Amino acid sequence: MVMKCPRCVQKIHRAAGDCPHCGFTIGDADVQFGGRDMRMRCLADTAGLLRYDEREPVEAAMRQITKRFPQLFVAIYTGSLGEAAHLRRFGFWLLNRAKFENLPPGTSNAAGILLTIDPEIKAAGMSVGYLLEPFLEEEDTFDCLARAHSHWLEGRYGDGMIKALEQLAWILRKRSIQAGRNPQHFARKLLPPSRSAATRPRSPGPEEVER
Amino acid sequence: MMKPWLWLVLAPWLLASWVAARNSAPLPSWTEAQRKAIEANGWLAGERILGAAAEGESQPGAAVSPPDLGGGVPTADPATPQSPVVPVPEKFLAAYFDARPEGFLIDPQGLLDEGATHEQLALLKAHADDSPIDLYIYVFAKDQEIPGEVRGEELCERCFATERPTILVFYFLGAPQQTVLYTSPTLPEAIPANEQRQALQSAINQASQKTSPREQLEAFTKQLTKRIYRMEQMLHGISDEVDGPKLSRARAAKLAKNSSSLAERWARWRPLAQDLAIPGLLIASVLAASVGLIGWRRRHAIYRFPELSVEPRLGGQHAAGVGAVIAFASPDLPPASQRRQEAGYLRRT
Repeated sequence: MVMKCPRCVQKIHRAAGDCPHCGFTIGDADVQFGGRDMRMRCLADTAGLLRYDEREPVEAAMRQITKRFPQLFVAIYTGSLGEAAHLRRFGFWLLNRAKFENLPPGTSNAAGILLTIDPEIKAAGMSVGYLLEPFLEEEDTFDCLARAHSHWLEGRYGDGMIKALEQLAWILRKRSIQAGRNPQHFARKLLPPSRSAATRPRSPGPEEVER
Repeated sequence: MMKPWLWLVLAPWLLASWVAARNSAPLPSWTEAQRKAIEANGWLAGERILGAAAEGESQPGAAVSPPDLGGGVPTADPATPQSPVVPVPEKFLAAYFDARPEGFLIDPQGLLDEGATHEQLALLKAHADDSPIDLYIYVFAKDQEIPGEVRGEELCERCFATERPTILVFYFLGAPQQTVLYTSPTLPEAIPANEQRQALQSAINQASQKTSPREQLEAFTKQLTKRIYRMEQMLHGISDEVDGPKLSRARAAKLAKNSSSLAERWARWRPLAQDLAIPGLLIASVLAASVGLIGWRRRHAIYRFPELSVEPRLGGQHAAGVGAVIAFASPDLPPASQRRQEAGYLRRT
């Protein structure tokens, strides 16, 4: 996945301590959403979108992903955030600060996939932990959300979540097979730029030519 | 080295082939008696090309007798049968020739089996429903001879003179070339003998392309009914005097369609279907089991990702991966148009 700042959505380089464009860090998110760890269950329907009979199928779909991909888990949060742009920042913050109560001890949030839905502004976002970052593209997360789009338009949030998770499982399976066949392809995404490219002499600009 | 799934696909096919090979009947072989009986008819498949007869015929100057297209009663191939002929048993003569037959197929000897009789009757009945010219087929064995005192012309005059125009056919089962055709007195006025002879020859040619007597008779009848349609065009001048429906071109098409009914098709394909039923079921069941097994394995498969080391960014210990954000506010816009890819402060409100 191309590394982007959750606030300005500009590309950032690996291991950037803060965004070189807007200076965003986790500290800014803490200021906005709270500095303490947040205790919650993997399915946190604070907006009350799911009926009682809809929760179980959604949780089953979440468990199914963990069963097929034992390294991973899925979390879903519904709530009001006020603005769509906050979804990215909130996803980034929650995946770093949340303590999921119903996960086995020792499970790292780096293996998480977080689906956030804001019913007030009618927007949804998906964030992933570091474990999946080399394997998933932003387009993959869009495909998952697009599968749920028609259901969410009609207010059927549970169905939409299940569809999104089914699409996610399909993509994860594909990526896992690709990673098994050619892990170097994904490892190369995390390597620093080659030295030759970094030290390549820059062609002189018009001002330098005039000088 | 073949992959296991390839074995899984090939194994049922090989197994089915082995079962089919075990179940298939052995190749037929001649007994001496059968060979003599067939040679007695004057024709043995392949003999003219492969056998000793070819040597004699390949002699230069060997005469080839043209078919006799002379006048009189039209017969297609006047070559006399070489097998010893026996007269039609006397006890059947009355059933054949004494009175006008009630059905269009006259087979008192029971030479045709029940299925063939039923099909022929259906075919002839369909023809009679659509055509002003009736067609009666008298069935004899190929080595039988019609007694001399029986004359087809006399039979037509005696039994069919006052009825609709009628065509009588004396058909010898297994020897269509011996077929003789007679017409009722009202027909020859409109139909030239040449046309009758060509119709008969055409029907015999169609029958000769088949191997089994039953198929020959079926092909013969179909072709003759088609040719009768041409005769009906000639009969147009006298059709007004005839009580009966006039055949239209559409009805002729319907007749042809009737002739290839579902039952006939099924009868044609039934032996093949019976032969392939067990191997086919075996293959289908093995394929279904394979597909089920593959699906089950796929549903229960466990996938793992290699754990690559990602350096933390923006101070986040667990995640900095920013995925897509999508709005679902408008039902008129597709998801791609409602994708939010820009920062909040850059978006127009």
